[in-house]
Amino acid sequence: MPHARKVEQRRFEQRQLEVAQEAAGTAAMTRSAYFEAVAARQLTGYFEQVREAAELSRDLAQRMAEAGNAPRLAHMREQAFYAEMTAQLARSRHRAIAAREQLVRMLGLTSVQGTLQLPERLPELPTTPAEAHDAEQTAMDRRLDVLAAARASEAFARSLGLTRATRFVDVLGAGYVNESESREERTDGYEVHLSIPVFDFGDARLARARAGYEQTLARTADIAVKARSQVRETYSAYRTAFDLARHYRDEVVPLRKRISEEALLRYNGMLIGPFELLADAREQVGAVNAAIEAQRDFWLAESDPRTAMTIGPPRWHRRLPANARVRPSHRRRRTLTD
Amino acid sequence: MSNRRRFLANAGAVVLGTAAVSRSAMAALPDAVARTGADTQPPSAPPAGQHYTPVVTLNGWTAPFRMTDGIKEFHLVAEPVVREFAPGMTARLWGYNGQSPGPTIEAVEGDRVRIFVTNRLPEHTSVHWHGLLLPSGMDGVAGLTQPHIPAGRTFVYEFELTRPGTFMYHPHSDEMVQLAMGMMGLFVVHPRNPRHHPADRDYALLLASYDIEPGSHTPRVSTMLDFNLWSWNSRVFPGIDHLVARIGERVRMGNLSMTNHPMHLHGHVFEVTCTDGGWVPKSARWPEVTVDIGVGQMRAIEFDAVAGDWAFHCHKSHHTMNAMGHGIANLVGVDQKDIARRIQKLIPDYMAMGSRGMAEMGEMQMPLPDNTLPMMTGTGPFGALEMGGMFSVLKVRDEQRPGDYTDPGWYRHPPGSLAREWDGELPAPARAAGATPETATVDVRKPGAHDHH
Ligand SMILES: [Cu+2]
Repeated sequence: MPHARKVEQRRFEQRQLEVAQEAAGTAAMTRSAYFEAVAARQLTGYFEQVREAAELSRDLAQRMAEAGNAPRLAHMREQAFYAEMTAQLARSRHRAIAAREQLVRMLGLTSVQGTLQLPERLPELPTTPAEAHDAEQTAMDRRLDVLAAARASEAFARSLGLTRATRFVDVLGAGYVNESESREERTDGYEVHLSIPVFDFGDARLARARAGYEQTLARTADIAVKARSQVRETYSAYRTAFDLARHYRDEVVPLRKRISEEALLRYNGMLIGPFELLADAREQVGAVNAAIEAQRDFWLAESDPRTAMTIGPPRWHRRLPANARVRPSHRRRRTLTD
Repeated sequence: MSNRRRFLANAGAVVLGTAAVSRSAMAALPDAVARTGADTQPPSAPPAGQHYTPVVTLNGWTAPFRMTDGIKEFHLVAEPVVREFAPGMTARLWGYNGQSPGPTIEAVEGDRVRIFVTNRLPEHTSVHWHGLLLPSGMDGVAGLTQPHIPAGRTFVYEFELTRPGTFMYHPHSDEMVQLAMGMMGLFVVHPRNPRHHPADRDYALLLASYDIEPGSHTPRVSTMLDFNLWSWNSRVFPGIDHLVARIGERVRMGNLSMTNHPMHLHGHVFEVTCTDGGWVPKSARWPEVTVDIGVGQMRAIEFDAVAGDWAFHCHKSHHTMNAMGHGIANLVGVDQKDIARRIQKLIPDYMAMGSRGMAEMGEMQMPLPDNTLPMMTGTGPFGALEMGGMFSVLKVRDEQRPGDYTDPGWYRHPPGSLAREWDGELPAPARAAGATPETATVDVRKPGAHDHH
């Protein structure tokens, strides 16, 4: 193959990698949009329940006021809370529609009703989380931007007419040029390496070209180091999201359920009244809501390690910060007779 | 100062009569008899000394004593106890000799008593002999008249019972906490002359209040007003035994709760014959049906028992309730059937309550938090009693044998002496001028026709 064609071939390959990266990004964003849409719909159900509980308190307070058992003020307080919950439900419903439309756009659908059928709920968590094992090495072997950098480096060498690779160097090792194949031993028991060919530049006239080649090696090393860091971070995010989702499912929600059971026993004994019981029901629904959010966050994070291992930086992360989420207040409310 | 030197310093108080007891003297202590059950023990006739009509401590007992050189020796052990308030509920209290209240101490006017007090509490204590006239150094006010009794130590008190009456004992050392934990007992001094204020039956009870959160066992010692259990001898209805009588009756009551209790006896007129200060001269008594007992006071009431089943209770109506919510919404007259159906979608086991009043609490058996008594409960021969706390029944029978304290069962009312439902013609009821019955919120229904859904 003529030299120029080879260079062209390399450039084409590099472009191909970039396209793959973009496609993978789009796929991941679509995937995120899907989980956001399902979760937003599920969360609307939560706001409906909270609004329902507020409505019941409002209605009960109204009846009490009509019967002369409570002041108008008590009724108005319940009415105000109910009104606030109604507003929150409206926002929640819009968020569900917006999330769904986002998905429609990502999928490029034209007729929404006929084609997009969202499930009732998010998929269950896997029984066990994926392990990190060879994640970083996998990234070195398969991640597109790493491979692209390595190939760019190789393409540069070939463009200089260099063909004879004398040895390979691990760009992740310190002092990589001279220390050649010595591999960094890692304390946690596995090692990660990324080998790049070293060419014999021989002639002193190629010294400047050699510096250029070393620059490409440095760039490859930089991309590789960042890739490894991203793999570690996305795995941590994945694992934390898994642990949190499981924590909400196995600890928080069952505990809230038991608290509600105790609250009902107290109601039975006329130790608390229906308003306190309804406030508790809202809090229980709140725990279920938090569990749904944690489950959604898991599925949003679920594919990130794989992306970071095989494609490139998961730059499509665009999740809301936690404090930006709107939740109805679960403040303990004074009883009517206070 | 080392413990040893402190001990010696305390020993110097022997002259005043309060002494730390040395280990060798411990060997000579009278047995500390403990009880675990909450049954009423039959009156215990004195094994030695002058005879008297012993008291019956409701759901309690009398401390045994031994005579040593003419001195009546008792041994109180202050210690943590488990007390059943009523079947289904136990409390972790502090008390004496296995129970709260501690055993009633009974002796006779003129007796010399020696009372050993062993402290098995986690903190120091002391015993104040409430109402008794004794040397100042025997008064039991820790810090003022004696050192605190440290945990693990035994002190001895010795004094002469100069006057008869109904008294109490309780700590005067971290007093608020130790009273809130149930440390108290009755101290009855019988008159030397048995013909002075004789009674055929003599019941003794101590009023106390506790705040035990539903679902828990230990009183909240920092509660000052909002107690939820109002007890006689650390028992609440339906755990308080009935008082059984034939004729003649004396009831001695002491109040170590945090509020006054207007004690009301149905079917009788009684007189207060003894107060904290002693016997009330006949000319100074007046007939009553309710006697208010203030905090720290003692009253003995006497009456001639009249046949029947008679309620005997504190007249503060929330004192005849067990634990209840005081801040809950009043739904009386509020129709919530449709709302209840909607609530059930959120809370499946929800049941509407309170629309017709709270009587359904007394009728229904609903699951409650652990270790929690229904706020109103109990069943009599005609249905739910809807009571709790400071409530019992005085059962007077003509045929009850003297000295027989067994439950005679419910009263058999003589013909024509029992209220009954009327099914004949009714004359139009007279109403106050201009009054119209209010029907808007009162939904009249036949009993049993209601549903709870
Ligand atoms: Cu009372």
